[in-house]
Amino acid sequence: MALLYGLLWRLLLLLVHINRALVVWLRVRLRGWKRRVWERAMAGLLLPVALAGFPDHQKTTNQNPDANTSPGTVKRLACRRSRLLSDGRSLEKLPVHIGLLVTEEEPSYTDIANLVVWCMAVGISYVSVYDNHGMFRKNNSRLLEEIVRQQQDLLGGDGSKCNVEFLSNGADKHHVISCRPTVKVLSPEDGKQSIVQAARQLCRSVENKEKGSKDISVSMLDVLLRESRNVPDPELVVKFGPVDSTLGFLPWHIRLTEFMDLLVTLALGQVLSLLICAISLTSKYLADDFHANTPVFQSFLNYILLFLVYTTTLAVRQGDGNLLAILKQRWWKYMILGLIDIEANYLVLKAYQYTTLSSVQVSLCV
Amino acid sequence: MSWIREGELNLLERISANILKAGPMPKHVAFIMDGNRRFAQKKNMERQEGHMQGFNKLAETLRWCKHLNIREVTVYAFSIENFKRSKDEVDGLMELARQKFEKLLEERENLEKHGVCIRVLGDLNMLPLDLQQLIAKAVLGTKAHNKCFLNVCFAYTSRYEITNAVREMAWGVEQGLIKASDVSEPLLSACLYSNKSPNPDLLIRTSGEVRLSDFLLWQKARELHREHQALQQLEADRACAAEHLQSHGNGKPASGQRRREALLQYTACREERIQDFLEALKRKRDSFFNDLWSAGVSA
Repeated sequence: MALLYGLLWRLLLLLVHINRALVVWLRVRLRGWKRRVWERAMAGLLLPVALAGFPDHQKTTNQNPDANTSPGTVKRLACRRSRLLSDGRSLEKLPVHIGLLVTEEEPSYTDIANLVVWCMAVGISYVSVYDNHGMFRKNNSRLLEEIVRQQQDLLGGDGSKCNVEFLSNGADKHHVISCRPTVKVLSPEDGKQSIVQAARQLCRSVENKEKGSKDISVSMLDVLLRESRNVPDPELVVKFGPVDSTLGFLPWHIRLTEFMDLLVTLALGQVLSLLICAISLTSKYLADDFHANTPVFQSFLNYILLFLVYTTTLAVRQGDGNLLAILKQRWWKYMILGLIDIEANYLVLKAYQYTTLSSVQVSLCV
Repeated sequence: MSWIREGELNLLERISANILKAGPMPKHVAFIMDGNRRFAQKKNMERQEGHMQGFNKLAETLRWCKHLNIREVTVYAFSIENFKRSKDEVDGLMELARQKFEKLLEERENLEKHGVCIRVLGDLNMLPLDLQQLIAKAVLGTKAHNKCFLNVCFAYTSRYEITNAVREMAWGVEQGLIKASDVSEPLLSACLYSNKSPNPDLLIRTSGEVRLSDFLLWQKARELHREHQALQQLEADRACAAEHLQSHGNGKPASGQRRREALLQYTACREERIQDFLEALKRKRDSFFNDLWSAGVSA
């Protein structure tokens, strides 16, 4: 009995992963249910557009080494910068301080540098980068080089506009912020450790009879924790990587911060494409090697899975989005769509028996 | 509506619970009960009714947790920020809390049967006195139970909790129980309201918002690995012991043997100091509840 429950648990976990993948992919593709989600997805969409756009530009600049001097490039860079600024203005709300929380084991310095430069170009004043192994802090010179390089390539050598500041606990390393925007690189020592150090400082002043224990208040601790970082609290933290945790990112400052899980969206699109490819290949093998002539049966399992996932999700939802409400309003639309879908799937799978894989794929794409 | 709903789960719920228990389960789950007012607005109810429904759902959730063998649950009932709401709403919430705690006290046998230990975390001095007395009664009455634990955060914000822990440590320094150099991450964790609970494994917020809203900020932050912590402590001890030797020595550099002895001695002294301080803190907190309870009884 326990074995059965174990198996069912594994199956449930698989369904949850598939459901999450489908829901996220659809949310991005179909452009949204509620406006708020759409706004958030838009913000999410702009990031991949930025990431996708930059490598092409990098290729062209690498080809001509003195591209920085040519007027065409300068104009292109200026256009890109103004486009990024207008992208930022088109968003309803832009955070003043954004945090990038990297939970991946091996983060890509180029991607992070790209993101940082994009954030600054869009108009975000403070960007904090954090990873829970402290790798960015250890290799801060490498990160700084990457950021400066990306800035040169993408925004046209406005080196004076950027000021990269590395958080450290000693007040002597405090850089004067001459202009916005500012990048901060954080590590786990800036989390609980800085709170403990502030506590130690307060206790020492109590020991020296400078203060009483009753004088210690939230605002006093707040001031101490902000002393070397006169920046506002992060309003939005974008999380990359598989771990569902803040991993010690500035515990005191994240009291009202919103968390967004982002790169999962990009990866899942790829996973879905991979799955579709696998379906085509296996259909072809079934048709060729096993001479299995069962197009309807192959798609039957697919439909069972979709049915289990979506019907259960809709059935438990209350109110307007409920299964019964949807059926009442739009049942005939779903009937027609369902019929068309089944016929289309049948024809595609039947086609594998008559022709090669590549011609089916080509006709699918067309 | 009572806190612990009786009744077994139906067949479907039982099967689902068994399937879930086949995988890894959290030991401590925290809930932020949010969205009561929005729910009331959606259903065209009074706000008070929304809060009542929220409480009923909480009772149901506790029942599920009991069946899923989740031993520790923390709920965020009322924040210090919520005091800024309208007086009517705050009074209504206080009244709801009063009713619920009175109901809790009526069900003492039930709680004993299930072994539920109730703890209330937060700045209780901000609440009306009669509510404080009810809370003290509930907490003291269920103190000895140890099968499952329910932590209710009332008049709580995480920043206040951290500040209070710092204040307690400063009190310890004032009383001469500990030194300022003894302050460390584990000591701060031990001075929090929630020092008896492990860190929460899972944080669930109803209503779909993705904020922490000043809840368990310290406890949810990943702590340094034990070895790293131990290493840090060792370094600190070594520095203090060296300082001590220097000040009490006679100018000659101490031998390795003496340094090691001094380090061991210093570490032992420090740990004893910290133990005494934590005992004193526990006594202080217990006496707070005892005073409230005796004031309530005599009144």
